[in-house]
Amino acid sequence: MGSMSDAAITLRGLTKTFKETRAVDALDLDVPRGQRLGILGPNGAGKTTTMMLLLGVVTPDAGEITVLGHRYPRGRTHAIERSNYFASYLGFPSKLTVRQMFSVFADLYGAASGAVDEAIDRFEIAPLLTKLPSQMSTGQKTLVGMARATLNRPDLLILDEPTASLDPEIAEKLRAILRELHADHRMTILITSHNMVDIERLCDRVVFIGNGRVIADDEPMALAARYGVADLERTFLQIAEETRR
Amino acid sequence: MIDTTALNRRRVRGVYRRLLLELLNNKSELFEIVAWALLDLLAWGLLASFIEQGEVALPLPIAFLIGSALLWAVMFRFQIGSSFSFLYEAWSGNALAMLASPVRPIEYFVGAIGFSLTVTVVQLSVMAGVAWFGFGFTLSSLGPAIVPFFGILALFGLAMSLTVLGLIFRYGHGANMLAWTLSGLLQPLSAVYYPVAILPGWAQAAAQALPTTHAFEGMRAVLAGQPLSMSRLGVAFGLDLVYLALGAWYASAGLRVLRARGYATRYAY
Repeated sequence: MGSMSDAAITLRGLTKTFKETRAVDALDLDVPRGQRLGILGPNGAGKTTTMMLLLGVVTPDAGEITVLGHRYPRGRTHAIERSNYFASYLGFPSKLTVRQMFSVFADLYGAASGAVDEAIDRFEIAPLLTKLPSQMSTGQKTLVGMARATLNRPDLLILDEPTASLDPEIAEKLRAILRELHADHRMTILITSHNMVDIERLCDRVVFIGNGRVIADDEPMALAARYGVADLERTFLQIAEETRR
Repeated sequence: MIDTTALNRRRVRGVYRRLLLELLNNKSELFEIVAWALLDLLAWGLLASFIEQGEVALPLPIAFLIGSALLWAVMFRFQIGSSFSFLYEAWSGNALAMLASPVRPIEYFVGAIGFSLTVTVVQLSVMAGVAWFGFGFTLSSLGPAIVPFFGILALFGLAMSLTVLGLIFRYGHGANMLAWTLSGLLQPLSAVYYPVAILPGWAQAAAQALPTTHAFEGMRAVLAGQPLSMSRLGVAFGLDLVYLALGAWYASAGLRVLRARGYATRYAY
């Protein structure tokens, strides 16, 4: 139960039902530290619910969650102190400038001195520091949100659709920064995306979820090969089709 | 779900700073905070002046009414300061980021209390200045009794804000009207501007169950030259503790419901 466990994430029998819908169904998952894991699945497969469970924003009906060696619910705060999260649907405080928001989130996540400047430099967002959210484009907001998610140099970075609505150039810039971050800090990255390019270029493992369960689990290209196709896009379509049957 | 683990001071500071920056960057909100309180004060002050100039036999009307307006502002500010803090998060699209952060509920609430205290001090200073300049009323006329009266009202404001938070966690933005109106609903029963004896019998009994009633009755007694009733203070603080415990329980239960039913996704931007 120490924080130096080799596993970044361990899920055992994780189950969550909303009214009549079983969003996550006895999910078991082990993610070693330093791994870049892509979670794929059709809409409603349980990806976002799984992330919300990992963040402790949603409580499970059954099962165990251990993140960075800390067992939930008691260890949730300690786990989240060393994690961070970005999603395209995550808003910013509307009246705070980017600089003010960073100062607040640096406190909330206990960021070390220098980490804020490092994040600003890495994402090249210095010109945006005096801007309010309403004064930024979608691409700029994504870069700012990603920078915010790295203020505490997290050991675990959880990303839900980070490149949604981005043009290909900014999406590629974001992927390059994520690769660089991983190389520098060996952080564990958990990412969901409907953009298969994100998963192919960023992840060394893919878990395909359907109806709240793990349907397939392998390296991206090995998974494609297993289904006899050339890329993840076609793998996705094939698995999704099989899941529906 | 109120976690009793030691508070992380940096996270509390982060919450406090976030709320203060939101307010300082919002000029219309700043204006409202001072303007509404001043308008209330002016209305009661002018009414009291009118009564004093007439033939109505009412002891110390200016002191009674202005003192009441000032003390009620304390209660109201503490009530909305903490409950509105989470609504700020919801309205600005930051609630999900806050819920997903390491901040514990108790840390968020303590940061919000600090924010409420800051705003109350600023607002009360402005009101007290106007009361002194405009109507010759000074808070010092209440003597040291002002401290427990403030304490009683601030604690009850916090208890109500916890209740409102519990409602917001359960019912989302729809509960925001209660953040504004709950204290208004309780004001007639609290005998803020008149003695509790004026109320009908059934209402007097209900009024005794509110710590606010004891604070305002106590204030009028002190202004009329009577000694501060320690038994009244004891009852008021005892009631505060009961309401605080109920409010904390309700807010915690609301947060459990929010997490169990996945209501956090309401706050996705």
